Amino acid sequence: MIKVHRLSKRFRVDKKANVPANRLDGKWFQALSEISFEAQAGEVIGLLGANGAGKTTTLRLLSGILKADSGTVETDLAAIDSDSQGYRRQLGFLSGSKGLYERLTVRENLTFFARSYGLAAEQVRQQIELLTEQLKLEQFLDRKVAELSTGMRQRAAIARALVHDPQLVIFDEPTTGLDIVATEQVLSCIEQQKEAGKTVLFATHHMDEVQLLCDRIVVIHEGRRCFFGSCAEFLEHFQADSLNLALRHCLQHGGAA
Amino acid sequence: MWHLYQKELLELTRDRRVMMTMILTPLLIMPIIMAISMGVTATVASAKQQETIRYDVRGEFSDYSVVAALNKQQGLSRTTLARGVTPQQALADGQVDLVLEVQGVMPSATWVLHYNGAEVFSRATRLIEKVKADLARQWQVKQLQQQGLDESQQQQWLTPITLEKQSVADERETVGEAVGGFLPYIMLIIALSGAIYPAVDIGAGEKERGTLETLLMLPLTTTEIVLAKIALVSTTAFVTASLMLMSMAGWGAAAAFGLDIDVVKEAMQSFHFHDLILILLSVIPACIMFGSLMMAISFYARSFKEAQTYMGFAFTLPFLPLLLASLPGIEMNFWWAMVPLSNVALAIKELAKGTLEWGYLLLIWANAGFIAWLLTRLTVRWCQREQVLFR
Repeated sequence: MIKVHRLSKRFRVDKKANVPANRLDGKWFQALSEISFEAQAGEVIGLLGANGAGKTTTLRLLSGILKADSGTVETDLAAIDSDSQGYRRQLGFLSGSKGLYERLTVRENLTFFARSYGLAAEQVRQQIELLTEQLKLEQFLDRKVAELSTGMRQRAAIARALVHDPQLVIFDEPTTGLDIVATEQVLSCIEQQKEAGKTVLFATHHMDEVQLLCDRIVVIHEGRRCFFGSCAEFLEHFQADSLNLALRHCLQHGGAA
Repeated sequence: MWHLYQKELLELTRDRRVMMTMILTPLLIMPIIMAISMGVTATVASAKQQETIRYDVRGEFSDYSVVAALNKQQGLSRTTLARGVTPQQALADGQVDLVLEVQGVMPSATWVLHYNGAEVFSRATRLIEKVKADLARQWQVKQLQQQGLDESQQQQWLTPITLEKQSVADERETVGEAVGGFLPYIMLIIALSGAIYPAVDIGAGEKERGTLETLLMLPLTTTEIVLAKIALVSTTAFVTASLMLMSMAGWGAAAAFGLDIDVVKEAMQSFHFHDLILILLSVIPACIMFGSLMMAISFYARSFKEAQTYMGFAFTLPFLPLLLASLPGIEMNFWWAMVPLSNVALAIKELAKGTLEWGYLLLIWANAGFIAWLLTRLTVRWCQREQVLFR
C-alpha cells in the first residue's frame, strides 16, 4: 500500500528555462501542487497527463530520489525518509532512461543490481532464471545492452527493476517506442506483478493500456491532480464514451476530483 | 560498495577509449614519443658536431699566429668576405657561421666574435675558445721561458691553484637528481590523464545516460556510491602511472643493455626494484586526490561535453605545483610537504636520489588524505543536491 497526501514540489529555474509562465513564482517552478492519491497492494494505478504535467516528478518523489517540499508518502513497507534504504529495497523503479549499463551484458546488469540489493548468489541465479522466463530474455541474456533493440532493452530494464522482487513497482512510460509484441510482453509483466499482490504505479500516454490494466487512475494537469478514481468513474464524470475523450475534457477543463 | 566498484571496473575495461589512455599511452605511445624526440635530438646534435664552421677573420694582423692557429684548427674553414660586407650581413645571408674581429695584440688583445647565439648545438664558440686558449697558453709559456723559468715553475705560474672536485653525492644521487627532474612530471601528468576519461564517463556520463538516477535508488548511501567511483578513478590513475613507470624501466633496460648505452646503463643500475615500489607508493596520494577532484568536477557538470570542458581546465592545474617543485633550490621540508602535488613531486625526486626521509612520506599521505576527504565530502553534497543531480 502507498498513500500520497498533498505532495508539493517546486524547482529553482534559471532565466533561460523553457517553463510555462503560469507555474512560475519568481525563480521557482511549481512542478507539483498538493497531489494526493493512494494505491493498495495488488492494485495498478495509472498516472495520466500531458508532457510536463508532473508525472515523472511524482514518480521521482515516490522513489525517494527527490524530496517533497510538503506533503507525505506513507507505505506499509518502510518509511521513505527515516528508513530510506529499507524503502528502496522494496521499490522497483523503471525510469525513461532504462538505467542499464550498455557495456555490460543483460545478465551482468541483472547480477549487479541483484547483488546491490543484497541478494545471495543462489537467489540472484533464481531471480534471473525467473525473469528470463517471464520476459523472454533468453535470446539476449548474454549480449551487451548496447547491441540490443529498443524492445529488448525495455524488457531487460523491466527485469532490472524487478530483479529484487520489490513490493512497490513504479514504471515511467514502460511501453514508449515498443512494437506490439514487446508492448504485450511488458503489459503481461505488469499484470503478473498485480497478480502477485504488488502495488504498481505506471505513467503512460496509452489509453488502451490504462483500460486493460488500471484499477484506478490519477490525472495530473499542470502540476495539479484533476482526477482520481476508476476508469468507469472517469468516463462517467466527463460524460465520455472513451478514455481518450474523457482525458481531453479533463485536460481542457482542468477537471475535478 | 564493492559490487559497485567491481561493476564500474568491468564496464571500464570494456571501453576502448579507457584502454587507450590507461594502457596504450604509457606502454607504447609515450615511449615512442620520447624515443623519437631523443633520437631526433641526438641526430641533430651529432650532425652539428660534424659540421665544418665557416669563418672569416678581420682586424690588425701584426701577429699572424692568430690566422695560422685558426687555419690549423680542425672543423674551421675560412671564407674570405668582401670588404664592404659587415659581419651581421654575412651572418644573416648565411655566407659564414662566424666572423672574428681581432683588435690589438697579446697581452692586450680583444677578440670580437660575431655569431648566431640562438643555434643551440653549434660548436662555433667552443672552437674559437679553444684557439684562444691555445694561443694564450703559447704566449704565456714563451713569456715565462724568457724569464728563465723551468717547466715545473712555469706550471706553477700557469696553474697557481689546482681545484680537485670531490662530490659527496654518490652515483645514485647524481643520477636521481637528473631522473627526478622529469620523472614526477611524467608520472603525475600521465596519472591525471588516466583519471580524466573514466571520471567523465562514470560521473557526468552516467548522469547524461540516466543510470546515475537508478544507482541512487539502490539501497546504498550517496557516500558509498561516491567513494566507489572515486576509488575506481584513483585506481585507473594509479594503474596508468604504474604502467608508465614500468614502461620507462622496461624500455630503459632495453636501451641500456640491448643497445649498450653506458649513460642509461649507469642510471638503470643505480635503481633497485624496491625504489620503484616506493615511487609508486608516493604516487598513490596524488592519484586519490586526482580521483576525488575529477569526480567532484564530473558530478557538477551538466553533461559529458561540459565535463570534458572542465577537465581541460583541470588538466592545467597540476602544472603550477609541479613547476614549483622543479625549481632550483626547492627541496623537501615540512612546508613543502604540505603543498599538494609539489610534495609528491619532491618525494619522487628524493626517492630517485635515495635521500627521502620517511616522515615526509607519512606527512604527504596525511595531507593528500585530508584533501581527498574534503573533495569527497563536496562530491557527496553535490550528489545529494537535486539542483546538481537534475541540472
